[in-house]
Amino acid sequence: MNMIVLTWKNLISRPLSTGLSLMLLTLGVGMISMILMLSSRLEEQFQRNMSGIDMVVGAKGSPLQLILSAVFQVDAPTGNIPLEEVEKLKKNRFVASVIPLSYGDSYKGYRIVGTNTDYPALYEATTVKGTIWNSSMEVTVGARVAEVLDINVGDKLISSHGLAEVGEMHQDDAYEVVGVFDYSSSVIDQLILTSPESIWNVHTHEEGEEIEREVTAALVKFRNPMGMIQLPRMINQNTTMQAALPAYEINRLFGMMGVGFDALSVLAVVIVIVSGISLFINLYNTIRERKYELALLRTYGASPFQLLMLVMGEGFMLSISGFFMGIIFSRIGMLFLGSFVAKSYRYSLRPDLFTTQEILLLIFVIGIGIMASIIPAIRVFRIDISRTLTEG
Amino acid sequence: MIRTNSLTFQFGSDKKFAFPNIELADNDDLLIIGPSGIGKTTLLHLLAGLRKPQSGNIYVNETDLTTLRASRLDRFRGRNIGLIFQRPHFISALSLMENLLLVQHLAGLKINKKRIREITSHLGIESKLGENPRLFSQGEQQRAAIAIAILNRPKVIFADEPTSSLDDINCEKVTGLLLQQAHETSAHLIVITHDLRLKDQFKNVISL
Repeated sequence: MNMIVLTWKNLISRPLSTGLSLMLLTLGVGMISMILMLSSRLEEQFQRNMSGIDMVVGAKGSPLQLILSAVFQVDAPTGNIPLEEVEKLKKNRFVASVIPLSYGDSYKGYRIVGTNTDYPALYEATTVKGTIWNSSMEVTVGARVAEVLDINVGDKLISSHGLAEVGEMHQDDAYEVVGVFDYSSSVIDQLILTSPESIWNVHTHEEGEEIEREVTAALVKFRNPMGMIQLPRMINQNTTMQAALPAYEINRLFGMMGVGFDALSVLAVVIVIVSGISLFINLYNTIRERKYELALLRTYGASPFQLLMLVMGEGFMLSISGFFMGIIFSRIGMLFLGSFVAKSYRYSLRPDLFTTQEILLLIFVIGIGIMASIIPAIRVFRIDISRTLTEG
Repeated sequence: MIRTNSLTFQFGSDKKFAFPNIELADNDDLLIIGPSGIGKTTLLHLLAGLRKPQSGNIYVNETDLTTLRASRLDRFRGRNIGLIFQRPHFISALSLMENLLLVQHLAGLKINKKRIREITSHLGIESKLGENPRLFSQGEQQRAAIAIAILNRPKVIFADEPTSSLDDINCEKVTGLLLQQAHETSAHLIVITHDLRLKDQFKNVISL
């Protein structure tokens, strides 16, 4: 029976008030840690999908919408642009490569994108079954799509117009699956890729017109940083297209989401502080009740310093357990959220084991525990044994 | 051996106590008797090292309590002094066994469960070791308090009004038990009380 065990026994001898402080602390720490993980995961995913894309061109409209639809495939396209204009761009001396994208159709909610083989190459996506599409009306299916819809090489897919799960069906034209991609942890996993000609085919056939050679957007890589300065302005001023920079737009998006994250973080910090206050009140009240016991400990030979540590130890122990319970809580939360997000979007959100920011969080939480216990502890330190025993 | 000389203590500016000198040879017991408000508890707290006197000295086996530094005094108290209060008190979060282990630990002694079992079986409360003393009967609590006081084989056992709430039969029983336990651990027993019934059981009596 040493002082550490006694500290622990004292804590659990008041299950209700200790439980309340612990619950608040777990909640606060869990929220903070989840926000930290979520924002770093999202940023990571965004970075992965943005790599190798310096600029996106598409129809005029919202630049953020263009980036979201062309790079991340999560928003509706802004419109179409003539292929001719894109071809012209390829000849520009600042441009290293251009990947055209035609999208707008879908199969059971998964997007069909007409492009060339540079697009899967950008994300180092390789086929696990079959081959990459070769001619019109052949498709290669992303890993996640194939898994969820149980698609195999040789299957026929009838696409529907638009991105909703129930659109007008392109009944006459069936795509043939010639391959399935391996997982690349990128946007490719949730797409169905084909050649741009397939998209033109499906649509002109339907409307009975001349082939209209349009694409929805193009992903551009610059040859050197000068392109970044010159090209966007040139395109926005002199053509019918708009140019948007993913890095800039995503920073803007994070800036906006950041407000939400910040508000949640402030709330979580407030919860942690309230838990500290509840611990303080809890300790302060029990010290009054336990004064006699503490004097008794002094008659058993305990020094004032040992009593100080006894009370501070309660704050320390509670804050450590609250911290670790919060960390576990956030990991479980991330697993749930991850499975939900993976179903709705393709983004995988796996929880970390431990992040460096959480070490700072641990120090903060221990600080709260010490702050909450220091005033009761000093009162205990100064206890007058003789008077307490006489009055008790 | 216990010896004091010219002990005084002052509360505030008007309440001043001067206590008669005490001298106890080995194995002697002492009853300090007097009405309420005469400073009995103050004297006991001075002797037990819970308060510092205004002047004078207290020797327990040649150690002068009044010159010990605070930390040494705490340790000295844990090892050499056992205290029994009018109403028994325990650490409420702990079982009797844990209370006793804590008393050994705080005195800086090795954990000795054999000693704990020996004492508790002698006092007839060994079967209660795993239980919380709050749930004991009054008699069991009294014996548990005695077990705590004698556990570390102290040099002196102080008892503050141990019998004031007891009837005649139990009063004699408890005093007998205290004297017996003190002698078995070869400790001095010093009892302070206003209870005149105890007078016959002590050789040495000081009236304040």
